Amino acid sequence: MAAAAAEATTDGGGKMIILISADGKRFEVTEAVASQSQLISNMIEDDCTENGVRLPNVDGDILTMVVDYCNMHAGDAAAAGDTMKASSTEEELKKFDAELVQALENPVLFKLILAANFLNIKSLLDMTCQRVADMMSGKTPEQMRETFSIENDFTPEEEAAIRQENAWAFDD
Amino acid sequence: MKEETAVADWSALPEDVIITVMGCLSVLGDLVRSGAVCSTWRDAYATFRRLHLPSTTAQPPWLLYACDAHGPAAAALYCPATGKSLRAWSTGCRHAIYDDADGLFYTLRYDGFVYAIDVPRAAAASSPPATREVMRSVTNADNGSKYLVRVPCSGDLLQVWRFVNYDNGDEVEEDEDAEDLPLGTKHLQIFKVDGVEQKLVEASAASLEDHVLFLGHGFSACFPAEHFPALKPGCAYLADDHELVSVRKHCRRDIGRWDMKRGQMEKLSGEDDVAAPSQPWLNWPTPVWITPTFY
Repeated sequence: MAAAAAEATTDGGGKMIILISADGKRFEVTEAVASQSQLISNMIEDDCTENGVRLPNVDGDILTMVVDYCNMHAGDAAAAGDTMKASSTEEELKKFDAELVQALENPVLFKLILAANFLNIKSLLDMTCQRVADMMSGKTPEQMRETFSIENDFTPEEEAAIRQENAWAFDD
Repeated sequence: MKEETAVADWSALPEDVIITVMGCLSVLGDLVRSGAVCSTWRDAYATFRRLHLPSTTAQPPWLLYACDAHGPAAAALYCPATGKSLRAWSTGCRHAIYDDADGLFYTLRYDGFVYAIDVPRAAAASSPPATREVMRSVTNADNGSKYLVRVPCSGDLLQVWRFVNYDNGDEVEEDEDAEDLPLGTKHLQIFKVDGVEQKLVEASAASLEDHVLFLGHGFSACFPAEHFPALKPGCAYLADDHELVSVRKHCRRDIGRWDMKRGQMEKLSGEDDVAAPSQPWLNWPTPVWITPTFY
């Protein structure tokens, strides 16, 4: 096991693990990078990552974004020995996050949220949920439905009751 | 395989994710409207409300003000984020607190009447069904300052009545010997609100000996004394809260530490710097308690 780990080690001396997306794309990352996912962190603790971690409900293009995000946010621990990465400042991180989240549109945003939720990466989930909240801000329920292509499944009576209950929030 | 992931079905988001999104909404109205989008979001909204989840984004303060547009002696809440005013309830309100623990506003009327208000529901209809009477009127006297205080740990709701010695002020206005004015807190009465029996129960000094109170203009707070060993337990730290202070130019400040057991006002340590009459105190604005933070 130790030999296999050493073979996969490319930089910084950190142990490497392989993430495999739904469509079979492979991503090699350090344990420190992958551990930002609570799910993978638990698997590492349980010692069941040596054959690669299959993520059957995360597409390759989404996993690319997740790995980019985790690489960027791995912090000093992951970047020991790599001075370029270690010096990524808080400002750079903020810029990276802002650009990432601004570029997110439906349905990529949707898939990224599900991935962050499944992998249990809290900071990424918070950031993407905040993006959704921003998209809802100041909108009527009808506009929210349009934004997210959600069908109104209330009966007219139900909807009237909901509006009546909090009438102040609905008079525009 | 491609097709099944091509459309994002936002109504099928896991409930805990929807709740996280709702927690990010900084405007109350947005939160309420998000619960009217579809039935799964409605369910998540109900859970959010039931759990009394705090928004991760702090709510901006709302302004609570008296407003006769809604009838005599009515009050309203104004949300600066949306510019909307909500009718709150009928009142002669003297003090109000917001309780983080249950998400309710509590207001205290001059006569001891306590209301609890559920703000998101407060202006739902013309009559305010979200207003609950916690405690009925117990006095006719609109005297002194009255405060509501929520005691941490026990969760008790207190009413603190603060009585001040008003001397006959007319002839001493603008008096240079202002330090002689006997204007100051002479008595503090503390009651526990018993909503079941509908009565105020006098709280003994002993029952608060492990706590520290802070009272001031529009302000009340209560802390366990063990958290702040440098403060004196069983005391109320007082700052000015009566009208005459802002009328008189060089008025002596009613700032100090009320020892609840001894029933006496004490000087704050270093009070020479705080309330000495020789200081060139401005009569406005009134000193207030604030809580400094690093952020």
